[in-house]
Amino acid sequence: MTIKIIFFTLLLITWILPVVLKTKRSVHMLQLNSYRNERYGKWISQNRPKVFPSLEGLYIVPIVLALLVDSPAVVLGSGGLIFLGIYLYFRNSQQTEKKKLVYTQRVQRLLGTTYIMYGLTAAGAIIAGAYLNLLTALIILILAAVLPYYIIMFANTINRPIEARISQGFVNDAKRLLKASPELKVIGITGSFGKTSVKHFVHAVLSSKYNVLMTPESYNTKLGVTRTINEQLKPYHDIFIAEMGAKQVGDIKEICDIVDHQYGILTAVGEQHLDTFKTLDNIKKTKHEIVETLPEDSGVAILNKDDKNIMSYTPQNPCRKVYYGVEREDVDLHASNIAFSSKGMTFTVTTASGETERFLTRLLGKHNVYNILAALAIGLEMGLKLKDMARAVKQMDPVPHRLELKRSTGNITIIDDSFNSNPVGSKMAVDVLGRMEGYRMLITPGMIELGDKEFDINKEWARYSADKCDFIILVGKKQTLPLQEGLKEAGYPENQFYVASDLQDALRKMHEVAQANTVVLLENDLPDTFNE
Amino acid sequence: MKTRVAVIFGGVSVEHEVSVISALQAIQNMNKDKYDIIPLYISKERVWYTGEELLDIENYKNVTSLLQKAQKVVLTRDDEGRVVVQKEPRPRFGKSTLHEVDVAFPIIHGTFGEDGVLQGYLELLNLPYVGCDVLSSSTGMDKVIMKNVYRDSGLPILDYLWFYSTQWADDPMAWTEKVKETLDFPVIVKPANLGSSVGISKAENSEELEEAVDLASKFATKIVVEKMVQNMTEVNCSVVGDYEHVEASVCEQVLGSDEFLSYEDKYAGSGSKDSGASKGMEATNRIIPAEIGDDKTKEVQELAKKSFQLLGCSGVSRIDFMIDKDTDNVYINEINTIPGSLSFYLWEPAGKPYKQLLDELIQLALKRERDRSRLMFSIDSNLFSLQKGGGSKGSKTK
Repeated sequence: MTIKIIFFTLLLITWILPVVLKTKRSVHMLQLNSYRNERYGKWISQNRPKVFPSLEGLYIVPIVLALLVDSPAVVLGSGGLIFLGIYLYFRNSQQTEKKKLVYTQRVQRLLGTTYIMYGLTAAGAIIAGAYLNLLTALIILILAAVLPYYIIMFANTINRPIEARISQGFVNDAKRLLKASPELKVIGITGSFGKTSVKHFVHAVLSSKYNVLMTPESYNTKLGVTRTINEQLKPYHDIFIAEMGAKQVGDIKEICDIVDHQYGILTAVGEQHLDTFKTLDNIKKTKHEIVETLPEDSGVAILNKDDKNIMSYTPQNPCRKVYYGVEREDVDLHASNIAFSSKGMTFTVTTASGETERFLTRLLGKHNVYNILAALAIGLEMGLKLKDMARAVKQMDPVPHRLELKRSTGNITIIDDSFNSNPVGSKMAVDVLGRMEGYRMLITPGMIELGDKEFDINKEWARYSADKCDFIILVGKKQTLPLQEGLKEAGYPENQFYVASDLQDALRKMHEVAQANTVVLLENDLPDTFNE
Repeated sequence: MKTRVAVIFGGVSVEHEVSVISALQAIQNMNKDKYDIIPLYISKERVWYTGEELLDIENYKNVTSLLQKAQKVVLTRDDEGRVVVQKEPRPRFGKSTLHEVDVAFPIIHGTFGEDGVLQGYLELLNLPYVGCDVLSSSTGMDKVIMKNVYRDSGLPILDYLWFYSTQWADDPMAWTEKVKETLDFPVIVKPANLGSSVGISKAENSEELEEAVDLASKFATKIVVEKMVQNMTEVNCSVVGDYEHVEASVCEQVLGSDEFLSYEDKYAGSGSKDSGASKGMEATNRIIPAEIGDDKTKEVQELAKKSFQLLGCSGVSRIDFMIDKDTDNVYINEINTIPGSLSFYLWEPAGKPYKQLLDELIQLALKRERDRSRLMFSIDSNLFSLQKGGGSKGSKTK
């Protein structure tokens, strides 16, 4: 009897190890999927081998032994060894994480709920072991060790009402703070791409004259915007710039309702997050929420007239609209004569009233002309002159990882565009690469989250890129199949590309093939969820 | 929401009392619709206090009882990086934080307040503050460094020499000879780092020089001896702005004596007791605008703006000039980076009410903060850290 208790205790201790490890990983994936069960569930269904590694098949051993052998020591001992073995294996095979799990208070609450559930499971197993039989106890423990991904999903559901109440509290605080600053002007920025850049550019242009607060990097959700207001808004701020991201219909409106913006910038509408939006029309409608929620009398919408997806939608809101463009000339703010040099890009801007100014910037790509136009439009609204803004534009830094030109060691110049992941942006990036002097290299794992069209878009992009690069490194063997096919169709020479297993491997290869004066475009670099 | 401005005054300086007057004047004139004012008084013993009772000049007649009533505090950063005024000692129970602070407004003249020391502390707290930064404050405070900078840029200053008081003590004869040779009597002897007229005296001969150096040595280890202009007009001009944009006020002509103002002349004024102290600078014997003619006024204003920007000043400063009546030459005497009464009396005749002046000063503090945060923008890069792991060595195996 005492032997049984000792072995049972050992079993429970070893059981905790793989459970904690797997729980941590599942929480991490839930976090990467924005705590949304439907997206997390989808990830689970696409990543079965991670959720149920084949090694866990070993759990059958103690169960079989329990049926065949009548020795608690053998059964419990083998179970313990297998728990320990699986734990050690997975601990050592842990990959380096690009975006680590952040132990937010929300994660802590989630873990709290989860461990209470595991506590109950352990108690159940002890009771089963004492009053029923070892087999039942063993099955309870093994199931609990196999299923953390689902248990986390369940815990997330349990915590949802609490989380909703907590986040509503933050939202109310933010609304109160905004109400206490009646002079504050709020600018909302959204779009399928370009919004982060536009945010930085608007900030750069306006802060020559005003005290400006903007949402920091990747704080573009309801909670992110709320946190920025609560933690960073000062009484002396004249202007608040809120970047608004959307993955589902209604996302933008939700943020707009909190911040009560008077200026709305819509940069572009494209086929991003089609997997959650389903249709392009849904995307158009969602992005236009930033216009529809503007005050009808005093609101100003700033829109890209060259974007067909923006122009094919007619907003209900009669508020004033300011258009900018490069192709279309019937706009309030027009850019022309775009030229590239080793120092960057130059272009001329003309306003509807005839004011004109030549701009120089270290930023690359035609899309940045659009982004700057959007910022200039806001600047004009706030009483700045084109001339005043030219200096701010000249001093603008590239946004990190967004076509950011950086000099690496030795011969290599890197164009870091690793935070990009959309068809239009990726095309523009290889265009920029194609216009550079020197040995041109592309490193990419391809694009994701494009729904049904993902394969075709990637293939097409690879074909498009083929004649713009002297060497191509694809990151991920399975992930880049469409790219490989596209290159094959374009007749790209096989000795000029390499399929790397991961980013580390790709960078190693980059150094190996680099020549004097090499320009490397690093396009799209994906979080761990999509490592393959 | 109002911007919370901590006005810091008092301080460890011979101009402690003047600072109290200047600060209370400023507080009275600040726009209360826009700003919440938190008075922060630094006692001569370097203890910080806050409280309503610090706002009444009458209470300072009995400082001991005033400080018993006021709350001891520290200016510090809380867990979330906000700058707060915290009770000291920290109470074991209950709230220890009294106020959050958005901007600091130092109104301390002289040592530890106008010389960059306080500014350095505010920098460490990462709190925007009104006025000159560390470098311009300290350069403006040290008469030797200031003169060197101006001389190197070709701005007019009077001939001078300087020594440490210990150097003087080692060989007063030699220094006296040197003064005679290079400057000739009469001369003015000053401590290098005091803002007011304290410790300054005139010397007509060797004996007076010795006395004057002894007096100055009580206030500083660094002594400046300067050629004296015998027949001069003393003119002051204030400048507001920063490295990008400046404007000059009207000029004032300082009267009262043919040499220089004594401490009492300058600050206490000659008026009766009830109006004297709180009126401060206003009460001194002066002519505004200075009666020196349009051309000289313009010359002085241009020099004032240049000397302000050359040191990289910000906020409001007052630059003091001497005009040699015999030669008509203008010389920069000194710069006050936190001038008495913030020179508001020179701005009101220039069409800038005190309230507006204070508002501009606070906005300049925020502007400097913006300029700086722009410089810091985007340094991080995780790409290169990845590269190390990826093996830049790998490329050498080729």
